[in-house]
Amino acid sequence: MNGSRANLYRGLKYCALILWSVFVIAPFLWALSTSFKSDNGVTGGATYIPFLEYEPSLEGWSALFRDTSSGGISMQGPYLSSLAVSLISSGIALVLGTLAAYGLSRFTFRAGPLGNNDITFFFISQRIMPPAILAIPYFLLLRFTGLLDTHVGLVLVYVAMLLPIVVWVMVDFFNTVPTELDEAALIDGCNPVQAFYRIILPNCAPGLVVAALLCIIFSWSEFFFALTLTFAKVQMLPPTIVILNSNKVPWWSLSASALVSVLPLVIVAFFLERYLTRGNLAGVIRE
Amino acid sequence: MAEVQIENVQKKFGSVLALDAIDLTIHNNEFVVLVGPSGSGKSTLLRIVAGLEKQTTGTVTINGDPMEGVAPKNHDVAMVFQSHALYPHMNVFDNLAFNQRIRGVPKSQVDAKVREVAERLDITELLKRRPRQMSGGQRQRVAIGRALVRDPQIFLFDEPLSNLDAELRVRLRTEIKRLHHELQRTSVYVTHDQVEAMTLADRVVVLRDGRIEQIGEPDTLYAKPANLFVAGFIGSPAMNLFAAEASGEEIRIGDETLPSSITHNGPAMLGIRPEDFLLDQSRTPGTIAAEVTLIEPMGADTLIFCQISGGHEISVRLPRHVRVHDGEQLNLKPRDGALHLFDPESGNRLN
Repeated sequence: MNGSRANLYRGLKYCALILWSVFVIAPFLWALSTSFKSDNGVTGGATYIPFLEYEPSLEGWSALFRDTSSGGISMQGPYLSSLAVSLISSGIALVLGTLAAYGLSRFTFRAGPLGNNDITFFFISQRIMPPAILAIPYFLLLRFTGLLDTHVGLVLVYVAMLLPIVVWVMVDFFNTVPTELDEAALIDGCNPVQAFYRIILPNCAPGLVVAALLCIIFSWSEFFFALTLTFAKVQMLPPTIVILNSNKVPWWSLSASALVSVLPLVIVAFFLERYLTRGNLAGVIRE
Repeated sequence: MAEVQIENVQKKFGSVLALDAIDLTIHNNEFVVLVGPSGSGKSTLLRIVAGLEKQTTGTVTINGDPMEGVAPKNHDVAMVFQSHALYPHMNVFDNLAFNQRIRGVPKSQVDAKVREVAERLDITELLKRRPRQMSGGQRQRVAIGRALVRDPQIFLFDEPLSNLDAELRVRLRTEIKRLHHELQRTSVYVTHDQVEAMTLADRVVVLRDGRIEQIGEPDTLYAKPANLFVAGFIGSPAMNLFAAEASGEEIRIGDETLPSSITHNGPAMLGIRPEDFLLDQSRTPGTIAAEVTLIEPMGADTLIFCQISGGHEISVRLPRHVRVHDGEQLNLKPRDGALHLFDPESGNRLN
């Protein structure tokens, strides 16, 4: 009796999971099939089966690499720009934000009536303003410093945008690590910096992974600043893809570029996922 | 070889006075236990010796060297924490080896040292495990091992047994004492448990509200508590304390009169330990009439709660072969020289 009941539950569970997977994966499959279609395959109504319903073509994919003069999108430039800007800004934000968060978690700061919590909130409050309000000041600031339409300028803006996320995530993580670990490390022979990166940081790996994932996702798919702060010399991926939407939409290239632009996030998530489990600290906290 | 000298140390957290005017010399190879209720400042004092906390005023010297501005790693101490504080991302071997590696000790030496300590503590089969894969007792044993590998001048223990169950606590307590006998190192041990303090210490320091109440060998503390606080804190079950009236060589509690060798006049607090009562067959002068209200057999002896005149309740510890029953009338006679007399105002000992 019990066994069949458990089987029923398991069956239902897997049905739900399969349904959900289809729901998530279907758009990607759709984009994948569209990327191999040509004009006829798209405009003549929905088609599903290659060779039978539509003639597969590599036009969508080859257009990604062709020059604009020969009808392509030339995606390599924007792709590398986006890759570089998002990785570098994420890296800088992770280093600075983690250090700031460790400081806020372990040391007491006072600025008049303000203490650690206020400083932490100050970091997070940077995200309260909608980017649209910041666009004009940033534009003027970057123009004044000569960093408008450069990678460096955009990296700086992104670091400012990502820092609050990193600080927020990491302060929380550092607070779950008992200070006795820092102290044990100090007595064992570490200086404070060694205690930080040899003992505390490894135990916050899941936090680092979460923060890194958020940073990369945010900066990789950021559209607004990429559009307003870079335009001629430097072109970023999200605006490049969106601009494809303008007059006559090349659905096949759009689908191909969408798939390619999701790829880095999938790779990152795939490799970082195993660090996301939080079991490590179980042995530290007293029970 | 280490002597710790603490002179006139005061520690404030904001406006809160955690330690005040602490003077204490810990001799070479001595096992000193700091004991007191929570908030007494005992852990703070230990952390100051370790260099984890900085005193507000006063000096701490180790072997004559002032510890002002010296990093914890250069205090040459090892510390066992209440929460064991093992590094969760390392296995036991790496936990034990870490303090040697970070100090640049050659690998072969480190390995030999770790193996030796693991064998001594019987944790060799745990070397590959992570802290989370071990029981509380095993973790604390590894934490002690980490201190042993360090081989410091001074061992510091911050309530290392408080998180363990009763049986394990007693076992590890014995083990710590045995280790101290073998290694002969200066040790400072913090606990709120007076039994731990009594069993482990060469000398006990009783702290309350950031002040030292008494320093002495366990036996002295027990036999001659310096004040009411120590009298009530040391010993389990606690000393019986009554408000009494002393006149010459007599002490009155309620309607009872006891002879005493203490010359004092006026109100006083009288203390008698539960085991310092004898049963007398008849009501003679110098005995107290008591009615049994509760009996707790404890195996080796029996704890009896009685009501005496004046509404006082007292606890009496009798050998287990003495049979009493609920409601029985007893004549209790304090042993000679077993009376403790304290000033009711200052709490200080009068005899």
